[in-house]
Amino acid sequence: MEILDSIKENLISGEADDVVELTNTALDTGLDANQILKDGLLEGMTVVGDRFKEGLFFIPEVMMAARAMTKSLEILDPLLAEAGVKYRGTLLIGTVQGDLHDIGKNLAAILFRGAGFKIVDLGSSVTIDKFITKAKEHNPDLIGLSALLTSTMLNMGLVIKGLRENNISTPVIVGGAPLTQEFANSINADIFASSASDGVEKALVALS
Amino acid sequence: MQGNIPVLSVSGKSLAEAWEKSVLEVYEKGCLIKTEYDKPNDPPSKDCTIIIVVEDPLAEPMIHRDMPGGLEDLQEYVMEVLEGIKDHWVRDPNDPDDTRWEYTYHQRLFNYALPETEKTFDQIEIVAQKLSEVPYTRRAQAITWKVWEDNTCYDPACLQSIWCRLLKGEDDQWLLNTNIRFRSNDAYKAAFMNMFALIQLQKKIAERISELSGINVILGRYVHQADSYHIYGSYMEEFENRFLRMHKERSFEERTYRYEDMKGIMEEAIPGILEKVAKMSETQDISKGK
Repeated sequence: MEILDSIKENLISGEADDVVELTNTALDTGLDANQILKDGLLEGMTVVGDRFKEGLFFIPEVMMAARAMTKSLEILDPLLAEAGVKYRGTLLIGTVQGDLHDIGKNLAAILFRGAGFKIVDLGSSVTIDKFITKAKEHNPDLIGLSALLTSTMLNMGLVIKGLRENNISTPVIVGGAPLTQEFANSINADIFASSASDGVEKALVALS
Repeated sequence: MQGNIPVLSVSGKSLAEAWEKSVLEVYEKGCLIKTEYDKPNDPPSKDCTIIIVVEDPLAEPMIHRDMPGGLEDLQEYVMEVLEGIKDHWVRDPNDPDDTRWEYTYHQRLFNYALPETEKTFDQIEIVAQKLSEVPYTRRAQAITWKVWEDNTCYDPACLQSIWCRLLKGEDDQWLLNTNIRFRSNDAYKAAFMNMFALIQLQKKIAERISELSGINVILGRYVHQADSYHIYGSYMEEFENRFLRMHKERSFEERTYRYEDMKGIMEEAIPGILEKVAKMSETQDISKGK
């Protein structure tokens, strides 16, 4: 459908105002919110994610597309909730205690959102207790831990230990510049993401 | 001669052009060397000493798209350096349990503190005052290094100093020339954002000198020097697959943004940034492990 293609194309090029205008037009012409989400926004974000993974897009371009999607979702979200539309899954994500670097975490959240996940973003420097409390509250399908520093990445193991001690068996995905597969194994993480795109790809396989 | 770290220099009219050239230069001519941050299987880093000249620091396009974050992150970083929005996250050097940051550039430049005294120095104001009084002085500089802390701390500041001097150009117009020195600078994942924020600081200093002296001061060339300017081995594959590929496949215009065109988006992010920083303040005590 032409208008959904326009939403998709404008989202890919990060034209937020146009995406908002087209979203309103699509609703006015009788399209339902879920169709706009799936065939317009998420299809567009899939292209953005793929191009980023292939090295054909830069991070600000991914962020601009995400900004356009967020603005469109501000219109669609109440309608989606009303219609009881289900997400592909819920990702609870945050940077671990002591780490304020959230650029990688934000990028991962955007790509997961583009893949159809509901995101519960706990922000940066999240305490173990907060991860546990929020995991109990939201019952996510996946918990994402991010760290940029060799000093703070050690806290990832403590979060996983805390979750398991509280009988929360949700798979945990870890990522961040200093991490390795060996480190992820050593702290009993379920998935190691070598990049934000790699994380989405592995998570989709693990949760399928 | 083998064993000599290469000394490279590049020049560009705009920031985006100069930075792009600098990264290509270190990739092509840098030496191979290991760093403290390399993981066991990482290839070696490319490294050099560099001098990057941005001839007209506010010339467009200012922004290169190959940044480690989005435009909102760039705005946040500018606010961190110029406004000190994260200064409350600097650790207490006397508290070994405090795991917060060792420094912010804003704190070191605008609020340089000495041990065992309450006295602090706003070095940027001092630079502006000196230059407004004696435009040709060679003594207008700000430093970040704290000898009594940084030689032994976990994460010492990379930026070392800012040096400024005024010179008259055409039509008797005063230009603020600025030299920045880093001891260590991640060329691919940090230098662009560093340079962008420091050019905003250069602009702030020029405006302050104008205010103090009553004479209009505009920006002269910005020189960015780094003792170790490097592309980490761990990023090399990404660098080759994205930066080098896009350098071949896209035009310069398609690899950059005009700051003027992006300013609206960046400023729209300010309330969200301030909200995030306020939340950081709430978690501050918890993060100290207390």
